[in-house]
Order: sequence, then structure tokens, then C-alpha cells
Amino acid sequence: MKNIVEIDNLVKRYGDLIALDHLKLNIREGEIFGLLGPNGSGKTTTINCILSLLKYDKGNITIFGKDMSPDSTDIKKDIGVVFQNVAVFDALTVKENIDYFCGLYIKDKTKRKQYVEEAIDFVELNEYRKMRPKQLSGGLLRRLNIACGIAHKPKLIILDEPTVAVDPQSRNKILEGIKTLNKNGATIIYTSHYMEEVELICSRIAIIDRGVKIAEGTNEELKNLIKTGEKITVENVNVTAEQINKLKKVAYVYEVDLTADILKVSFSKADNNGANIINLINFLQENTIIYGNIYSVAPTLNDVFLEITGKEIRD
Amino acid sequence: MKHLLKYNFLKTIRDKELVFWPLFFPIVLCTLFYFAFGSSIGQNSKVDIDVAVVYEDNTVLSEGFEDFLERIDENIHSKHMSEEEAREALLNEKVSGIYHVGDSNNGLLNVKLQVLGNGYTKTVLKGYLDGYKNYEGMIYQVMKTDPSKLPELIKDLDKQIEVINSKSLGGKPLDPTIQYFYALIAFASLSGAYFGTEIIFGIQANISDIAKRNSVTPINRMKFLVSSLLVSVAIHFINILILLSYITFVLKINLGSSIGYMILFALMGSFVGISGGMFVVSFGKGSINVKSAILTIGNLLLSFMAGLMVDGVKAFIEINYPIINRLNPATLITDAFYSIATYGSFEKLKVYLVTLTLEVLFFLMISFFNIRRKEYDSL
Repeated sequence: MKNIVEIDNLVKRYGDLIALDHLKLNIREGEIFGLLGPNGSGKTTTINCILSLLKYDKGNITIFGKDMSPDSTDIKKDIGVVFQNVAVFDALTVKENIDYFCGLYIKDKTKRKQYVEEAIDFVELNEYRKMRPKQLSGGLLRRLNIACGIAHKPKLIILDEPTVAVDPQSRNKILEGIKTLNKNGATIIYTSHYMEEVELICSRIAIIDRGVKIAEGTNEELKNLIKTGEKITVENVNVTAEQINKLKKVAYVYEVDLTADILKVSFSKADNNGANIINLINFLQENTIIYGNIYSVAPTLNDVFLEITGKEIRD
Repeated sequence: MKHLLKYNFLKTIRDKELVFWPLFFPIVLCTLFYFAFGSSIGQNSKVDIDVAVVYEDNTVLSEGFEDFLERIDENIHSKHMSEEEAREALLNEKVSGIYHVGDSNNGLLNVKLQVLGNGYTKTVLKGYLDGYKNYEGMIYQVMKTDPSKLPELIKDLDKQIEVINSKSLGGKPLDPTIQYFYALIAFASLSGAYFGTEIIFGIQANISDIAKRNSVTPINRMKFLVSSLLVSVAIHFINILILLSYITFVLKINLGSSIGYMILFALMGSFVGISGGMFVVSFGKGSINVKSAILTIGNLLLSFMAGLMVDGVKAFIEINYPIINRLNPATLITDAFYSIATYGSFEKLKVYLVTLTLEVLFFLMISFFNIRRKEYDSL
């Protein structure tokens, strides 16, 4: 599969601060590529460099096999961008906003009309088409922001944290929409600090922190990089320090944490045929420990980030 | 281009702030001026005004001021009185005001006006006093810099007085309160700066999200610039024409008969306001609110110096810092409209036109230079 975007040894400094440190990324045709990292990790800086909005100190960026520059109109016509901040005109209606931005790419009036209608349908803003942005809720406004960025049917779509401050219902719609755009043939670069979103929609993910790429791969590949496996939480538990020490010696137990009456037990990734939860319940019963709800979660990208950097993504 | 022009037009005329400040606010101010000065303003149906002139002790008697008053308006009747006589006459309403004339340190006359109450008469007397100070200031400057040009200047000023008194506004004397309306037209023109703000905020990606979005499209930034500049100038030009029409046809204030020149300076005013706004906003980063506040203060200050609030300020500047009056676009527009209403030759209009054109070119060139960047160090 060919690379749509190639970023080679990208270095960006803001004075003494190194925002991007020899960043290398290859985004392949047809994938949803996730750029995951905490706030300030360099995701938006990377996007702004890709789009030639920001000057960078070193490195090379090619898109569709050509060097990207501010005057690369032939490249820009095939890119759609949805920035983190909503950028639409308050004085124009929903439809006019989409038509305005689509018209900057598509000159054919008939084709543009069709694309605008499709974009309105796609973000489900049909009943709001004559409204002004100020009349829309936060979620609807985000959907308008997306429609303005994708109406011209670009080959490459860059979405920079498009779900920030969005209600769960709108968020789901946006994520479903992104998957549909990808199915329709667009390659997508998706930045977020919400690991759940990235896990849900991205085919490959790069995790960056302080401008450095710390890991890259599919969801599974990334989780295989760490030792932590299943995490079991036991609520309303009444356990002594001696019992905790004893628990740490149970097979495959990697880490035990007791906060108030909630016990969290992390197991190492070694395959023990899903018996961790049974072993833990047996231990609790054998030691006559009283407990409430008990549930298990698989390792997340946050665990990957935590194990590699020593901090949580949302820190 | 057609697409950009269409949407630039739509978003500009629907922007309430952009419609309010350059159009409705000056119309509201105009209406307030109209009622403040009395409904007879500018209608050339002037009333006789008796005024006392009191020379302070040790003042070298000069007939210059009284002569000025008599020549500038045949309806002004000045009477030389003692301090006590004048005060009594004022209290008994036999005179409408007293001009106290004394010497100042620099050899110029120090004239103060005393009136009872407010209204049209006060405005007229104040206007003539400011006019006198203006002329005196010009003479003072020429004497200081190049006395050889003095006879020429006096001849020119005499001609102006003659024109004001006999030829302006269709043969009727020029009402001095009209000066405020000229300054208001200048204020409205410079309010085009808000359009300039919008133009720059649509292009400079490091100060606005819309500009960022525009910058990643395949459209050349020059197209964004030209289309928004054309639309802004067209709309603001119409704003000024509406204002001129309102003053002329609704308030029935006669601004003169040279419609061609009025249209030309309305267009020039639109250009200078918009390009001035672009010039200011193109410097540095900062929110649209901060930059709009700077423009509002700047516009008020320039208009203040052109005599929008206190007419004497222009005369004071003429005496002390004449270069400001030569460069202040608000003063240039004010003086241009004054000249349109009073001069027969329109010679000075050429100077105003050339100065304003050079200012527009300067503002545009610096703005283009400031926004030339396509990639930024930070966003």
C-alpha cells in the first residue's frame, strides 16, 4: 500500500522548546491514522507543518508523492481539513457556509450543488440548513465544521481533535461519519487525546509525547508492547495489608492497588486461558474476603502510554 | 472570483457590527448634531447676532479680529465695549456673547468667548472664533517658517473669507456648525477601518481560524485579498453616500453643489478608512476585539483632532503641530468637504486628493508587506 503522507525527520522548535523532535510518520492510502498524545504533545503542530502553515526547522514532508509547500495548490485541492477550533462564518447560514468552503475547491456549479447537499445529508444538518451557526448547539456546530472541511470530497482528510467539547450523541455520529468517509475511499489523519476514540476508529496509531513518537502500530501491536494485561477491579472490598501481600503472590498478578475500598489487580499479559478472574475470586473466597461488584477490563492505549512514559495521557 | 465576491458581500452586509459602526452610528450622531444645533442649521436662513468685543488691559488694539468677524458673516454685528458694559449687555440679552481679546506670549491674540447658555448662537460664535484661530495659526506658521509667503497666504485667506461670505452654498453664507458634519463624514469614512479588520482576519492565518481554513485551500491569497477589498470598498462607499444623502435630503443640510467632488472624496474616504484599518490590524498578533478597540480609539482620536467634538482642537494643532493637520486623514476629509462647499477653484482639493491617495498607497503597501507570509513561526 502506497504512502499518502511521508514525514521524515521533522524538527520544529519554538525558541528553546523542541515541539517536534525528528518525527517520522508514514500515512498509508486508505487508512485511518490516529495521532494520539496528551495536550501539548505536538499533534496540532504536526498537522500545521503538514499543511505548510508552520515553518519547520528541519525535515521533509511529501503528500501524494510531492513536496508540500504553501503554494502547492495541486496538493491542497485534494486535502480536506477540520481544525480543532470551529471556523465558520456567523453571518452565513449552514448551507451557505458549506457552499462557500466547497466553492473554494469545486468550480463546477452543478457538481458543487450536489456535493453541498451530500455534505448536509452526511452530517445530518438538513433541518438546520437555513440556520446561522450561532443558533446551533455545540455538537451541531462541530458537525457543520466537519461538513465545511469535507464537502469537496478530498482524498486526504485531516481532522484535528474534532470531538472536543462535543456531547456523546454528536461524538458517536462524528466517529461513525469518519468511518464512512474512510469506507468511501478517503485516507484520514485523526488527532485526539481521547484514546477510546482512537482505539475505536483508527487502523494504525502513532503515540507522541513532547514531540517524540514513542510508539506506532495497530491497536493490538501497541498493546503487545507492554507487560500489563487484564485489569480486574473489585468494589466494596474489605481486605487487610497481609491479604494484599498474599494476593501479590498469586500467579500472573503484576500489580495490586487498593484505594479506599476499591481493589485494582493488574495481571501480566501471559496467556493463562482467561483464568485470572476465576483465580482472583477463588483467592477472595479462600481468604473469606467480603466483596461487591467485580469486573475485568482489557489493557487500553492509556496503559501503553502509562507504561512507556510513566504518566497518563490526560496528565 | 465571482464566488468569493458573492460570499464576501453576503457576510459583510449581514454583519451587524459592520453595518452599525460605519453607517448607522454616524447617522445617529448626525441626527443628534442636528437637534443639538437647532433645525435651522445649514439652511442658510441665518439670524442676526450681536456680540460684544472687550479688549483686556494693555492689549495692543487690533482690528484684525473684529474685521475678521465682519467680513466672515454679515449677520454678525460686533460692538466694542468695556468689560462692565459687555457683561450688562449680555445679562440683558442685548448681545449674545462677549469676545475677550488679549495678547498671548507668542504675539498671537488670545481670544476667549463668553456666552450664556447653549444652542445655535453659541455654536456659531464658537465656530467663528475657531475659524479665526485657524487663520491666525496659519499666518503664524508662515511667519515662522517662510515670511516671504505671507502676502500670498493673506491673499488666499482673504479670498476664502470672501468666498465663505458670498459664494458658498449657492450664494448664502456658510454656517460654521456645518464643520461638525464634515468632521462626522470624516469619522464615518475612517470607520471603514472595521472592514479592513475583517479583510486581514480572513487572510492572516496566525490571527484567525477562518484565515487558517482559507489558507489550506487551493485559492491564492491575493484573490481573497482583492475580492474582500473590492466588496468592502463598494459597501463602505455606499455607506458614505447614504450618509451624505441623509444629511442633504433628510436633514436638509446643504453640503454644497459639487456632487462629483463629493462622490470622489466619499470614495477616497472609503479607501483611506479601509486601508488604514488593514494597516493597523496587519501588525502583530492579537484578538479581533483588541484590534477593533485600537481602531475605535484611533478613529475617535483622529476625528477629535479634525474637530468632531471640539472644533478649537484643529486650530490649536494648526498653530502648534501643523504637520498633523497636513497628514491626519480625518482633517483632510473634513477640509476637503469644507473646500467643496466654499471654494470656487477647488485648487486645494488636489492637495487633499494627492495626500489621501499617497496615504492609501502607503497603508496598502505596508499591509501587503505585513501579511506577505504564507508560513508562520507559530500559530
